[in-house]
Amino acid sequence: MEKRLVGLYKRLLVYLPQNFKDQFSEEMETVFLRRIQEVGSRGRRTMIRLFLGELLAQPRLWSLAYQRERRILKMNGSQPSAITNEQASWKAAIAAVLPLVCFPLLFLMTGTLRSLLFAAHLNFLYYALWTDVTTFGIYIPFYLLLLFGFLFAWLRDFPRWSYTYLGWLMIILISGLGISELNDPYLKYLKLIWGPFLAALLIAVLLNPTIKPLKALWRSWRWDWTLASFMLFSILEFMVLASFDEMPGPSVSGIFWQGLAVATLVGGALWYMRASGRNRRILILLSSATLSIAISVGVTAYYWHNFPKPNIKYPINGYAMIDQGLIFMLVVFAFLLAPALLSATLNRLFPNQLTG
Amino acid sequence: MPEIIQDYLPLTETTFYILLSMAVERKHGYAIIKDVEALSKGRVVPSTGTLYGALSRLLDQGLIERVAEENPEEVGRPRKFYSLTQYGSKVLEAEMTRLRSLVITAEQRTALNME
Repeated sequence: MEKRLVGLYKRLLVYLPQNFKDQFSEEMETVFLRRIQEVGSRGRRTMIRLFLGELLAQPRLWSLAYQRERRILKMNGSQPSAITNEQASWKAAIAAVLPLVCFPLLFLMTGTLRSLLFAAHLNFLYYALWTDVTTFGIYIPFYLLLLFGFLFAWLRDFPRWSYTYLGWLMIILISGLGISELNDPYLKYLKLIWGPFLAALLIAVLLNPTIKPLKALWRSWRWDWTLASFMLFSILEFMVLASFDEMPGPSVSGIFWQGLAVATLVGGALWYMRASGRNRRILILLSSATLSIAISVGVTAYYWHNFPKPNIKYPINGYAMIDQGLIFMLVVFAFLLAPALLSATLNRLFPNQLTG
Repeated sequence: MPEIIQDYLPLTETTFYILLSMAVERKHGYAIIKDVEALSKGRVVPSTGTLYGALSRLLDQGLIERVAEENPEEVGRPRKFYSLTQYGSKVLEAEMTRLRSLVITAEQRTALNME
């Protein structure tokens, strides 16, 4: 009992801000242990009462400790960790590309399964397994990854790695609103993500009850507008994957090209995180985006151009023809570069307002 | 941090006892809790969280200071002691003067009524 309560108390201390934790948590743990040992002879109920007293004191302590943390950070003139021209660690770089790897893996897994079942003439099995619910359900690990990423990012003032999570969350939450014209039946389940997201947001606010993370997000964004473009990388990944979607029937080579287009983006994101300096980062974003779009437009255009059944019309999605593909590429480029262009314009109009 | 001692007053009961417990000698966290309990005759028993919230604030205000144990190897884990600063002593004295004056005023008024 004594050990369990001390263990629980230790866990409570984990949520204190870093400076406070470094300074006092070890002492607090020792004091609590001594107090528990002291009342131990008086029975379980007294020990639990002591622990509950500590539990009730926590909200006030958190509030004090986080206010103190803000004062310390203000005095030290610290800035969000995302504001840096230095290269990110490998750990941060891998954390950044996790959602960009996780979603395509699940997406391609369904494609591979379909191809294999179709090749084995087991089409019925695919349709039996693949319902609206399973289509939504297979992405649950991905949604959880995004929510945990968001929670940690809030507690760490949105570091650079968190931007891919924010991009993907944005896509899913907006899709969940049901304002899209897409009418895939499984999209109706996307609205379910709003509940866990709001719960994650509530937990994040309770643990760090301040608007500092949002301020950090805004400051980082203004300082390094490539971050906004990096966030839109998730949207680009979704579009690249979707561009192959209109290719009918099983196609292993389609999966290969899809994988290659995605790998180009993932590689670009990894390289972006490891790059130092803004100009290099822009170059990386543009080159990997160009290459990825070129693969998706080139392969889909080639496919439709050589499509053997003339009675089937080209899909009206802008990928079928090279000229439509190029228009699409320009639109995506403009979209990706919009934050950069906007920031450059603002910088020119208000030269003293921006730091970056 | 307020520059005038009066700006710190009145102290809360818990803060007053915490400062008072360090008035004679420096103390570590657990000893402060026990002393506060004894001084208040069991009325005030701060939780660990409350104590360290108050200690961090008093440290930031410069009313107390924190020192590491001189010979930690003799007792195992190094402990941190808290002691009043000169400024902290002045704040405590000012609070005692304020409380004394309250009591004197109250006594004078009640004594007049009795006459």
